[in-house]
This record gives sequence, C-alpha cells and structure tokens, in this order.
Amino acid sequence: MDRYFVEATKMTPQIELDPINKVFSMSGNSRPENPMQFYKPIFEWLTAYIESSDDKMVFKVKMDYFNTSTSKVLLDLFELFEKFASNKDIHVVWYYQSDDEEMQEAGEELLDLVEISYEVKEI
Amino acid sequence: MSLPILNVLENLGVPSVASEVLILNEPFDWSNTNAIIGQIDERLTLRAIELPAKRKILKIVTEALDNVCKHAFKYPSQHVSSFICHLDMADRLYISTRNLVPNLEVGNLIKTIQELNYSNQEELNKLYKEQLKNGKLSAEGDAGLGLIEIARKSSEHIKFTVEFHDIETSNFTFLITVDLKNY
Repeated sequence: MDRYFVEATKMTPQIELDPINKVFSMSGNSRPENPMQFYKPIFEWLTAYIESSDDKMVFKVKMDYFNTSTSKVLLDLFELFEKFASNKDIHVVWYYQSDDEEMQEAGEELLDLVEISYEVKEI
Repeated sequence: MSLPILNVLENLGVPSVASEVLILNEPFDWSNTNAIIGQIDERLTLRAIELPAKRKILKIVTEALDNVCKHAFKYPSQHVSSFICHLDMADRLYISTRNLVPNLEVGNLIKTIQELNYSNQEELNKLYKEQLKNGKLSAEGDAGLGLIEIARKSSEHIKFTVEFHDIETSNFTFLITVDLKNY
C-alpha cells in the first residue's frame, strides 16, 4: 500500500500512515470544518491496511488540541481497531505533555471505552 | 424583534461595567473563529491565567464557536449570530453566543440545558461517555457532545434566553460563566 501523508494545518492534524517504515500516527490540532470528509480517507486506508497485513501496528496519537467532533472520530477509530483486535496485533499509544492533564484524561476516557491494547504515556 | 445582544447579556447577569474582551459578529466560519480562539489564547496568557485553566477555557470557547458556526451556516442570509467574551472586575469571564435555532428544536434544547445544569460532575462525565459511545456524527460534524463538554468544563450553570425571530426560528443566547479565581 502507498504511504498516506497529510501535512498539519492550524485546524487539522498531521497524519502519517507509512506501511514500509511502520509509522502510523496523528498529531497536532483537530477542529476540521468537515470531520467526515477529512477523516474518511484515513479510515479507508487503515481498514484496507489492517485487512491485508499481519504485521504489528502501533498507532501513535500526539494531539495538542481537538474538539468534541474529533473525540467522536477518535472513538470510531479505536472501535475500528477493536473490531480487528481478536486476530490482529494493534496497539495504541496516546501521548500527552506532562502539564496537560486535560489531554491525559481525554485519552484515558476514550480508550477506556474500547477493548484494545493501549498505553497513555507522558512525553 | 430581538433585543440588542448587550441588553440580553445584562439581563442574564453580565455586569454592565464588565469589559469586552472580544466580540465577533457575522460572518462566522471555521477560519475566522479559529483566529478568535488564537486571540483569546493570547489575552488569557497576558492575564497570566495558568495553563490548565487556559486549556479548559479554550475548550469551552471552541465548542461555543463550533456551535455558532454550524447554526450560522444553516441560515446564511440571517445576520444575527454573535460571540462575545466579557471580563468583570471580580475576574469572572463571561462567554456568550447567540444564534438562530429552529423553533421545533427550542423545547428540546431548553430541556437539555436544564438537565445539564441539574447534573453534578460525575453525572456529566457519565453522560459525555454515553453520548460518545452511542451518538452519531451528523453530516455537519455534530456529535451532540459540545454542550455536555461546555457544562463539565464551566464552573457555573449555563444561562440562556430565547427570543422569537420568525415563524421558523428563534434567537438562542447562551451565557457560560467561568470564575477565574476558582478555576
């Protein structure tokens, strides 16, 4: 599969999905005008990749800020991972700055709602 | 005919002597509201607001602006929406938004706000998780989480007022108060 890369903007995160170098990450801010339009290709890419690969996937989330629409998108993403969790090796790492309790709690709250392998890690 | 927004806010309890931090009137879009969030960030930094408190306030501001954007987009020819931030002498920050809502939705909106106002922090967190898990993202990007998030991040009840606009819509004004001293 081809690498998928989207540069960060003030309102959308950087997305990197690189099957060769095994880098799967999103970082930055997320307040997209149209969340469905922005995130749809990412869901499609990840679904196709997980279905076709048996390699371990570590998905890294390093957000500075996101709105509640993005919270819903993130949960949908983790639910996608949950769907494959029984037969694929998928792990999520949620990073937060040491002084960002809000981001730590947001990660714990979201990941607590799904049954997947994850860690919430201070940077 | 709606009252001028500043009169509405005074009726809701914003002291007339409170200074205006920022005002944004139409047009509302994602780009100019993002600039407003940046300006509020700068002003809170200038006032030496601690980072954790600032993050919570910006979260409230963003959700409030997202809400106005979505409604302003639905009624592009009606220029009634506004966003105003006030600060009073006692370090209370007042975040207010006004936008049109369909008359058919007014009853449910009032009921939702009243339920949020009667809920404690634990109940709000539970409600947020339930909506996150069971809600659906609408085509406009609304997940039904914004108001709950505002309620659980703000320190006081959400105040509101509704004014008849026309046969289809009403002007809905929200007032969110943040006590910076206890935040």
